[in-house]
Amino acid sequence: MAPINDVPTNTLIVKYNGIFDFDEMYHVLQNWIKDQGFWFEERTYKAKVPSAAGAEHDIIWDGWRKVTPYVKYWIYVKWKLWDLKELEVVKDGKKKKLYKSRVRLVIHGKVELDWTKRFGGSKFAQALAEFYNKFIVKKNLENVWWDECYYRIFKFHALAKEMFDMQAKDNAYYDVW
Amino acid sequence: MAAKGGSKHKYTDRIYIEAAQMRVKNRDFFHLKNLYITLHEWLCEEGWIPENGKDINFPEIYYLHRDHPKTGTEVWLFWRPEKEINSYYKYRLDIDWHCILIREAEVMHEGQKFKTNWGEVEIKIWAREELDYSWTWRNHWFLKHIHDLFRRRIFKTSTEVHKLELYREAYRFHEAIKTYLKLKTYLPEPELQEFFPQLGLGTPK
Repeated sequence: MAPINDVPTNTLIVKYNGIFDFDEMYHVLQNWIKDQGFWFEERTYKAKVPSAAGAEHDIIWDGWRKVTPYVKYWIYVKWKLWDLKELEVVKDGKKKKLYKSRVRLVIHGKVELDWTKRFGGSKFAQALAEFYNKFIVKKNLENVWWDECYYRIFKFHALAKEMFDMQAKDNAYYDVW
Repeated sequence: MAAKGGSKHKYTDRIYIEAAQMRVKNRDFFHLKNLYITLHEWLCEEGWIPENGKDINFPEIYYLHRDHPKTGTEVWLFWRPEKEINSYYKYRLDIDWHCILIREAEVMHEGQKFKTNWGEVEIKIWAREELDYSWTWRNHWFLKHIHDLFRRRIFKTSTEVHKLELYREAYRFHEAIKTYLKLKTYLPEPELQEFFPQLGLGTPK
């Protein structure tokens, strides 16, 4: 039986329908991923204008970060925007370009173990890897690595809610990791 | 291992590291010919085309054009530009275009009519860094025995540096595509610098 090398985190979803600053949000969120030390990749950007109701955009981001020679954190972000329309509003006497849309952000991550493939491919090495993951590093995995990966992703989730100016934007775990 | 008959995938037996992989898909009004020219010029200016960007050397290895009266034009394009960094490293960009439902259209832009196209374009990009592309090490009677050691340990830092450089170049190309198609971009320095008009709509009189 192959050892478990990928430990996924919980999936977090943000859904929003209203007016927001898409330009700023796009920059802030991707800068956050880079500032946290992740290698950022925008895997897909799809856009279409199916009707007069507005445009539809699909964006997929992923990022990874080497923590130790054995552990890597991954973050995956999927944007889906429907009925995206540009608006001009006057704020504090200045014209500003905002967007009205229905947005769904799906955020999840994983902890990748043995990303350097130290345990090789033989059955014996795989069995050793399984023993190592289940017994030797189990506490570290549960209390440190998975925990850190998940709470960092939770901060990203909180930042997204803050950008949407949602009422539940406060992050109760702002000081965790 | 080569298949029977001698044909094999072009990356068989090659040592490469994937630096970036991305795709852009857009279904809207845009000028297809100008998009082609824009990206062609970008590759020439950034040194991806040998011999000063002469068209005869442009690495367009496949072009398919299919016209259908009901569904419009379909275009497939494969570009394979390469950049030799030194005798050991080479950058490769695999760019695949697929355009469907392309039809001619006219749009009003700042009070003027422009001829353009409507359809869907999908551009997929793979950026790979190839090591020992000329087989200098692997064919040498002595170096071939120490190549693995050098590749994994001694050249590791420079491999990572080159991988990052290729990643940056690939994302700048990606940014150029998105700037042209008027999609959201995020790099601090914009590509194309508005030299090529967005969506192919020319400068109004």
